[in-house]
Amino acid sequence: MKTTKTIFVLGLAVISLSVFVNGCMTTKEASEATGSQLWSENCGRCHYAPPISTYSSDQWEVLCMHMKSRTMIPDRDVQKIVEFLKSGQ
Amino acid sequence: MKTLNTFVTTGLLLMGAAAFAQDSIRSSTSGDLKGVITGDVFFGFKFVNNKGIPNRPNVSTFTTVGYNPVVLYKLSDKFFFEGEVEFQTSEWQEGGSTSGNAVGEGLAVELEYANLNYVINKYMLVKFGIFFTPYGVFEDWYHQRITNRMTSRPPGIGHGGIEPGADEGVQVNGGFPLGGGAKLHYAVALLNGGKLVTDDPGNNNGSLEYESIIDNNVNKAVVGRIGILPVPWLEFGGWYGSSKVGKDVIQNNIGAIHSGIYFSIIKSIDPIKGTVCFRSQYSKLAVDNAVFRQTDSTTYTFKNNNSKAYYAQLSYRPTMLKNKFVRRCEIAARYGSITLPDPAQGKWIMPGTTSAASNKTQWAVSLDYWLKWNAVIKFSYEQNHPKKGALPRATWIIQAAMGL
Repeated sequence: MKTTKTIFVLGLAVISLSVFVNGCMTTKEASEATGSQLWSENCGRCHYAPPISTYSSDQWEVLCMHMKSRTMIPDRDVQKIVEFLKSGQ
Repeated sequence: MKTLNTFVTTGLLLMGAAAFAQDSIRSSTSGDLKGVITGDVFFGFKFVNNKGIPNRPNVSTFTTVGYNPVVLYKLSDKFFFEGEVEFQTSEWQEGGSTSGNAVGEGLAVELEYANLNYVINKYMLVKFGIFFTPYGVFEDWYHQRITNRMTSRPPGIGHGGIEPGADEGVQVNGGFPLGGGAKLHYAVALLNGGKLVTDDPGNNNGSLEYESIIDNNVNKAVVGRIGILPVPWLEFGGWYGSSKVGKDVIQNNIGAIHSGIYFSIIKSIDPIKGTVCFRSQYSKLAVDNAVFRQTDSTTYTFKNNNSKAYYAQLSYRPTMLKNKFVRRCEIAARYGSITLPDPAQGKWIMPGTTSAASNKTQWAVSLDYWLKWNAVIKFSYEQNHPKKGALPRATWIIQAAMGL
């Protein structure tokens, strides 16, 4: 019973956050962060950022999907980062 | 019935949350398989000064050579697979023994993670398999040799700690942009969870085993974690998890609660011409009172089965200096502590270790030299202070690591 309650509480928390976040979605300031800036900020949180030439466009696509899965970077930011990395090839 | 409830609730949670998403991710157009093989390699040398400690000679040894290949496959825009196998020589432990699931001459092999991800929408993906759990963030993000500025894990955190590193189950996670550049991320997981040890009187009874492939009951551990980045350089969050970990000798269903918080900062600061990184985590585990059998077959009640561990780490790298050699150097310091229940002192063998656990504090310093963004040589010094008057133990470690 305790576990079921915990699931409900956590579920409600996620749904509530979804509603909250949808209510205050992207501001102009946030949406203006460049792919280069986001790449530096997000990579640097755990490790130093690799040079763009380290990987091919296809490899960057795969690696960014991996990082999105592991570190939960928002999709909007991931798309910008991938575009930046591909443009630098 | 509980299992049914779990399935129904999980299904509703997934469906409900998906319905809230306003946009959907791009659908796969090509379906082409794209893959990357990456990972890391490392090796080290360790010297332990046991001066003054009875029956503990000083030790120096080359130790823990590891090759950890990671394979990543993007099957489509919605499907993704990630897996890592760890090949390592057994890690030297205090007392001269070694740890690891040896399959050859000192070789330990472990399936670190292997999970299939499905992107539900921009704000949510679901993963199945073995993955790093939401119990804390150190094991998930900072334990790899090129993300960890030190040569070791903090006491009690990650593998060998009071919470699982990886586990098998299903997880929903994602991230949201908030207003003004702030971000929020979340993870909710159903896992096999820990197992209460009940058949090792005088030693491990009362401890939890983790990362077991087969669960010991129908109950699943539920854990959720939330992290918030009000600005890109600052992050904090917390997690809470509940599970049933097995039955004691009078068939009481024993529960365990994991909880904790974390806080981190990484920022380049012009006046000090460098980048400062601060990481910290506080983890707590509370296990219900349980009745165990002693070696003489009488029973006793294990009360206050509570454990906690924490660490704080600060590092600095002069990334803005012109001198190339100095720019590649980084200094780091860490303080950590683990506190276990009194009956566990000198008896429990923590997961992934072979020597008896005890309360301890530890401080460590490290000088790292970065050859590249993904290659580093670390020179570190650690001092472990067992509580209750035991002599401290000093360890020097050199470690070289490279990401692939």
